[in-house]
Amino acid sequence: MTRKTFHEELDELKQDVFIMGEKVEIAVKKSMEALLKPDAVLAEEVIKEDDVIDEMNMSIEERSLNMLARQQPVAKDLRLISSSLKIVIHLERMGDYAFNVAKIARRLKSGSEVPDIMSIMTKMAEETNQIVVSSIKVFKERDLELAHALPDMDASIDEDFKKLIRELGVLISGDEDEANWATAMILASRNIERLADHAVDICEQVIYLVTGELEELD
Amino acid sequence: MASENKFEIKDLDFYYSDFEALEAITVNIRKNTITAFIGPSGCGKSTFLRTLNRMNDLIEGAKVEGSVTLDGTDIYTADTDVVDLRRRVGMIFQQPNPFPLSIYENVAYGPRIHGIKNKAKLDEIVERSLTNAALWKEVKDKLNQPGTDLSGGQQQRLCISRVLAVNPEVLLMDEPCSAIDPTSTQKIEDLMDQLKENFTIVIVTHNMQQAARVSEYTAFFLAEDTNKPAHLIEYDLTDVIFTNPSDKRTENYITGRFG
Repeated sequence: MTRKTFHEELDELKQDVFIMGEKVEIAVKKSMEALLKPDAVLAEEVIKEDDVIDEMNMSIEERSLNMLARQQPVAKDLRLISSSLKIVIHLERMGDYAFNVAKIARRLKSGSEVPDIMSIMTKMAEETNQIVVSSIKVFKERDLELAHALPDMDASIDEDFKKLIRELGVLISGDEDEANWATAMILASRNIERLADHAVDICEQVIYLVTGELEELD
Repeated sequence: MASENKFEIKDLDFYYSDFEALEAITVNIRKNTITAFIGPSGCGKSTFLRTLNRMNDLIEGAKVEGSVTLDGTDIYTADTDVVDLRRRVGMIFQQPNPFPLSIYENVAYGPRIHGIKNKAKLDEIVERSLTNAALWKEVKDKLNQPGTDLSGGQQQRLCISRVLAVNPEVLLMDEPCSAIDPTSTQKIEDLMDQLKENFTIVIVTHNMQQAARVSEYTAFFLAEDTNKPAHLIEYDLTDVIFTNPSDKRTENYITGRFG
């Protein structure tokens, strides 16, 4: 009664979640770069690529539901499907935040950058790339030790965000270019901060996948 | 509510002559719950089920070591009344096996043997038993027709009525649905759910989804090799067994990776 085809289907599903994760990783990386430079061409690439991420999300969801209905998976098979269903929602949201950052980057004008703020933005972007790459690695390698390191990484990003809001708030009342730039940075950093939260959520799903225990990471 | 144990089985070994079929089985069966036994063919789950009402006594060369207690009393002592034991611990088989008698007489058979002769009393037992087996409405106007004229699913419920008629405490079900259609299976599963309020149910099933649907506890049996004795590999809440079993062999079996 071995279920070869089903398990092959399940392997393919897992592979597709990895691929979707890689696409999100790239979208995030590009959107950060597009924002910091700023680079409208690179931003445009992220905006176009988002459809692919959305399509993968739908395809994985549809196949997961089919498998639930037709195969009645149990134990680790059930946990893989259940966590994949949730992980792709988080990946899709991360893709959306990268998309939002790219849209901000696309219309961003250079010239008003404040070096101190840019250095916090750069740090935040690097940490965000790092947390996204880590969350995908946690899923790929089922690395629970790394999973438990993500809340600290996220806390650091939250700190960056708070610092940015304090410093950017002052600039809002400056001249028009400066105010526009500051507003764009506030919006972008808000999107980045939310993006990082989803990386932590992915780790919670991986913990469930591996241990069968539902755990809140914070 | 912590339920008490109906059966307590300790270090049970079972032999068919020289062949040891079950080894070192220790498990408790909780009262008013449904416990499912699962495992591949030849894993000893039906053999173990039959040790619970000494049905194996009928097999030549069968030998039991260890202890099985029912409500705290050992059922393998020399003075155990085996007929009464089998009344308390009734059995439903895979193939519905009504007697070649009317529906009424199928159900009244047991109570008559146990000495009930009063017609009104028998009528009441027949109606109550058929009602409890969710069959009364379908047969109340044809009680004198042969039980064998019923459909397979109805025959199985008739067999359940026949067991219920002698006031059992435990129902042992050995693959009760494997010879009947999905609609009848659904009826029997619903029935089991109602019956567990008053009875303790143990079911052997090859259908893992059935075990997952109906039971609160699941026991997984496995013989590592065809000429090796079977062991109880894992026993836990059904929810746990089917979402996060602790033994790799259980996981491999229920996910269809062997067996």
